[in-house]
Amino acid sequence: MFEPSLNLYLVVSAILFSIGMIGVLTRKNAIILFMCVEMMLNAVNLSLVAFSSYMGHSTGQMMVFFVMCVAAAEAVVGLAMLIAIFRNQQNVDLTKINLFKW
Amino acid sequence: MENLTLDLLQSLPLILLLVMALFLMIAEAIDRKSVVVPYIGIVALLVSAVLEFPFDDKNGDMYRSVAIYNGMLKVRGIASLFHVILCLTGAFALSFVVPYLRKLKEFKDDITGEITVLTIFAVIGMILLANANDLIITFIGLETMSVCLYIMAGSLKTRKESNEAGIKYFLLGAFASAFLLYGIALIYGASGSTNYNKMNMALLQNSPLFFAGTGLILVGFLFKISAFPFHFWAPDVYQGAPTPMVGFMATASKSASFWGLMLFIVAMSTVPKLNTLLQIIAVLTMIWGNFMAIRQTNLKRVLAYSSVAHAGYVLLAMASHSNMGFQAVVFYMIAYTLMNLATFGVISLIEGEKFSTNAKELQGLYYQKPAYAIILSMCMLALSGIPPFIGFIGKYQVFAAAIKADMVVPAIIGIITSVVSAFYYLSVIRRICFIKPDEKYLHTPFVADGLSYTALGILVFAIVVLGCYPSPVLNLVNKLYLYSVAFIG
Amino acid sequence: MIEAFIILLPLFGAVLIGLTGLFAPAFRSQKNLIGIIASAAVFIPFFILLSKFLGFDTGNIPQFTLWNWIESHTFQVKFAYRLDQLSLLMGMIVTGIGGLIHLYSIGYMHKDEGFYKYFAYLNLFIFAMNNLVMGDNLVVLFLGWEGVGVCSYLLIGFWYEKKAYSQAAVKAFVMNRIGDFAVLVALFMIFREVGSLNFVDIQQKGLSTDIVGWVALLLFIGATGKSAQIPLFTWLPDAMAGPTPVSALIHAATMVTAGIYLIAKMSFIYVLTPQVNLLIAGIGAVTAIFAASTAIAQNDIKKVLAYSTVSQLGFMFLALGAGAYTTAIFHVMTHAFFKACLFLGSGSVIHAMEHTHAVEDPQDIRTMGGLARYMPATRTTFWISTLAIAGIPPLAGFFSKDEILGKAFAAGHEHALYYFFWLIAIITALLTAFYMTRLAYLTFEGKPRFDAEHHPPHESPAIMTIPLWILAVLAIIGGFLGLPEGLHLPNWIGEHWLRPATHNIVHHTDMTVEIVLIAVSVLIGVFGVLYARNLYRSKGLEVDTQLDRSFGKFYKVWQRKYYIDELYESLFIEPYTRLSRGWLRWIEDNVIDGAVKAISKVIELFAEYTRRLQTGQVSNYALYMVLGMLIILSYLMFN
Repeated sequence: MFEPSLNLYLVVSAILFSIGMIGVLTRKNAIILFMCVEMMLNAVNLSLVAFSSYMGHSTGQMMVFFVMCVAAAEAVVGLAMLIAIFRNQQNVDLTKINLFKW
Repeated sequence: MENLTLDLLQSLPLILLLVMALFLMIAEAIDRKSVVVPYIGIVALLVSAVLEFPFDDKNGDMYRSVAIYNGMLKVRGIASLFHVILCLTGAFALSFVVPYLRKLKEFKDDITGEITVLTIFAVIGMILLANANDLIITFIGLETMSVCLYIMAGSLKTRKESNEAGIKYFLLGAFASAFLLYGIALIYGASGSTNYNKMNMALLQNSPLFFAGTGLILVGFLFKISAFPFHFWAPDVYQGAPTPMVGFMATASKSASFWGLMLFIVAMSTVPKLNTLLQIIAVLTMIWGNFMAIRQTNLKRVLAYSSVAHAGYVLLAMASHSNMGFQAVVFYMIAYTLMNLATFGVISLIEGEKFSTNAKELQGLYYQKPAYAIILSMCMLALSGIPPFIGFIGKYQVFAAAIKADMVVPAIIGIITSVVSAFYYLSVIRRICFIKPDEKYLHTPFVADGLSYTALGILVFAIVVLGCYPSPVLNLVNKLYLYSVAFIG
Repeated sequence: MIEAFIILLPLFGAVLIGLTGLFAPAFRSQKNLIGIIASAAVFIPFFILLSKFLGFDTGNIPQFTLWNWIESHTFQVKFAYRLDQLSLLMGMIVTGIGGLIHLYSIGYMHKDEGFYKYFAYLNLFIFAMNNLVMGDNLVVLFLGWEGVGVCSYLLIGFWYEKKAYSQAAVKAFVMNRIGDFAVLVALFMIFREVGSLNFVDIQQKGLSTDIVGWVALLLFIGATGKSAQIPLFTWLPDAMAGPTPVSALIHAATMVTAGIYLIAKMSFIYVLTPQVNLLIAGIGAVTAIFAASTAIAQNDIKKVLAYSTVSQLGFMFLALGAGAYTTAIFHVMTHAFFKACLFLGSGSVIHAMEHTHAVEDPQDIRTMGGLARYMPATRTTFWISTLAIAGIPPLAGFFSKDEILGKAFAAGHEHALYYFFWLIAIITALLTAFYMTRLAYLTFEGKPRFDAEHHPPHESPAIMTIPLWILAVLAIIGGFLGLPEGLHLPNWIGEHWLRPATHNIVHHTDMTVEIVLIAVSVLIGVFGVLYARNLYRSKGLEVDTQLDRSFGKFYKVWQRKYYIDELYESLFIEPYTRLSRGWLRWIEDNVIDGAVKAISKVIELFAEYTRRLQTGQVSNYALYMVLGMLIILSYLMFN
């Protein structure tokens, strides 16, 4: 049976992380951008679980739970903020949110 | 079980904060208009600070820090000092929040309670971050702090400025934490543990993941301390967020991040390469921050760049990687906290209904409120590092540490940029004291209460007195550091 | 611990007057009370210093520590003071002249709104200056150094409503900061080498030969900033925007001599650096002649005095460069006497001219003249000081200036360039005599060139003239403290008093050479004064055009008498004036000022363009972060 090595997991995780990162750099919609950040966090989760399973102890998996909690908390705050912005300016286009510059 | 009881006792001041925060959250939910919530919050923070204060005892027990909860969190020793400073910062910030929000018509006392609770939670996060002995705690502390700060930055939800500050801080902050987290994962993978004491250093330092992990964690921290090129959020957020909250996030979150980073670097017992990197970043940060501040017309933006520049000075001390340098980091952040709390405190008191700190509106403040103008001028002098204010002592320590560590060129660049900085600090003074006010902006409301006056008085007193007689604080930092960080460099 | 009052009283005065004035508006109008408090806060330290001076014992130098400022295991900074011969002398100059100027200011500033603020700043200045000259270590000195800079900034910009004035203040501050930076770097270098910034420690441990030159050079750069030497001198003429007593105290008698004090105090390292000494002498000589030539073309009474101060400071640096530290300090002292007197006299004149309301610019000497009749006391003291600065024996300036010239000549044994510097100095001495006489003559003598009939000016009140007389007397007798030692006369100040505290580089000269040198400088001085007097007595400014019109050809015949004068004028003075008015001014404005401006321009442009990176777009910021991360990672992993 095919047994994927640790490296394979890490590579997948790195790819996911990069996709998320590129998403953050290229997307204009705040919600999509936020989802990309979430994707980066989950990519890290994959690494953590892989390491944890490879080393045979649970620290990494425990960490994953914390990360998921944090991600949830961030989602709450972020979406609430986006709603407030939407109320004020009827869109969540990040290119239009630039009162402050220079 | 005995261990757990002991641990709980050791962390009682922290638990007190947590309980009070939860209690206030419920109380605030029951009575949204309650005006006592912030005062209870301030008292809770002060009590927690007093409980944790490292009083001198004969055995020096309070000076030695120990790791509790299975080596996750440090208490006592220098950790106590961090705890006390962060709690006090929270209390001072809160005393400026109350009159500030009361001044804003559409908010009045509505959100004061929420902000109080968030401040206490943020302080808890900061204490965890600064005293972490385990990367998990670092991450949790950093996130607890950050999430609260995101909300605080965006707390004036009907105002576009605050919205923008909140969303920018939030998106970039979350982005940076993802890097930090990835770094933690890699370090964990390479060393087999997230705990500073249990990491297998030999394994770690030889692993290819070590540098990647360290670099990524560094990115996470550098974002929080707003070092170049991770500082771009700072000016926008500082300008848009409510002023007293900016005072809080500029001081407490930066101090906590610096101290957390310090413990991380000490734990990693890093290689020269990392120090060189820190030096380069420090130099770029100092240059960028100070030079960008020159062209700004908004006082809060000027202060944002100034805080970037200050981060550069502290990074310089950090890069010296010596006992003297790390002590300078601790002391400088205390000095910086006092100065910036006072500065943002004054600004929050003088800021007008129109939500602006543009140069034109602050012009000629002396003719309307001489006392505020003089305090603000003193803050500017202190920030520029002119004696006899506390800023000078901090700068002296930083540059002395840098020179001792043979970083002469970065130190000289630092001194040059600090000369440049005098230019914009002085032009603020010139504007508020020596130029007549613009007729259009004469009627700025000044609403303040006894609490904020007292807080401001204490801060200014501390800036001057500790500038003239810093020995007690210097000695305390020195003793705590030597007892508890135990780094031989 | 009576010595502590020397330091603390001025600070106490400043805080008391400043805070009471700020919070109790009723106090502001108690002008006599404020004046008395402020003056007492300076005179009492003076008398304490005087008693220390009279009971001075070389074996038991008074020293005291106020408090330990910074005390950690890595470094210590003590507010410690040590009144050695040099510090004691400087302290007496600062508090003595400072006290007189405080008294004078009570009269001069009496009508000013910011009276209390003025005296608070002035006391603060004395406090900072006392720290500078009495501190036992370089940190206290540097704090005083910065402190006087801040006070000078506050006082130059005292009438800040006028925008140009507050710009002058900023200019002075920024230029001083450039010098301060050099001092700071020198301090760090010394600290690294010695591990202490205490003067005694530095002297005992000594500096290694690799850095001693750099330290000497850096301290000298600091001195050029504070003491207005090329290239950092342009702030001083602009600094005349401040009230005139301030110009007398800060920009003539005390603060600007801080650079000379610093080098004299550190003379033990300059003994080891002949090249730096040569540079100091060169800069001093060039500054002296440059400023003197500029002074000729000025019409603002204070500007003339300002350039004259720059020029005299150049003389002092020439003395320092020649290794004659005691001589430089001697000149600091005599210069403090006569230049303070001149500035206060000019203040008295300006005060009087302002009150006549007859002229547009109360500082323009072209619209003065004939004040002798109205202001006899001011006139007499002004002339005494003018003759003193011109080097007419036996007034104070003669002895100190002659000693500088003698020492510069003597240093020629070591390096031939010193002969050249001596020559420059001699020419400068001639110019000095000339322009100072011109100034005094155009101001006080001849006929009034304003409507004196209807608006007669008045002599200043006694509180202003008494300090003038005291300073004039000092300007007469001050020189006898340092009689020429080359003639085997007792040079008390150099040989007896300052010798234990400073380290002169001694060059010996023959007595005959000495006599010739003295004769030359006397002749130069007398000739300069008489020539200028004749020239301006005969050829007033606007008077002669009026005379021309009313007397026609007859007047032309009178004029013929001065054919030779006109020849001189077209040959020397005219090109010279043109040179100093045009070229030198151009160099000053464009090259030197320009360089300073260019630096700030570059910084501004840099800021202007780079700040466009701050686009306000989240994705751009994220991009910068990613780039930063990639650079960090690639540096850490692959380098």
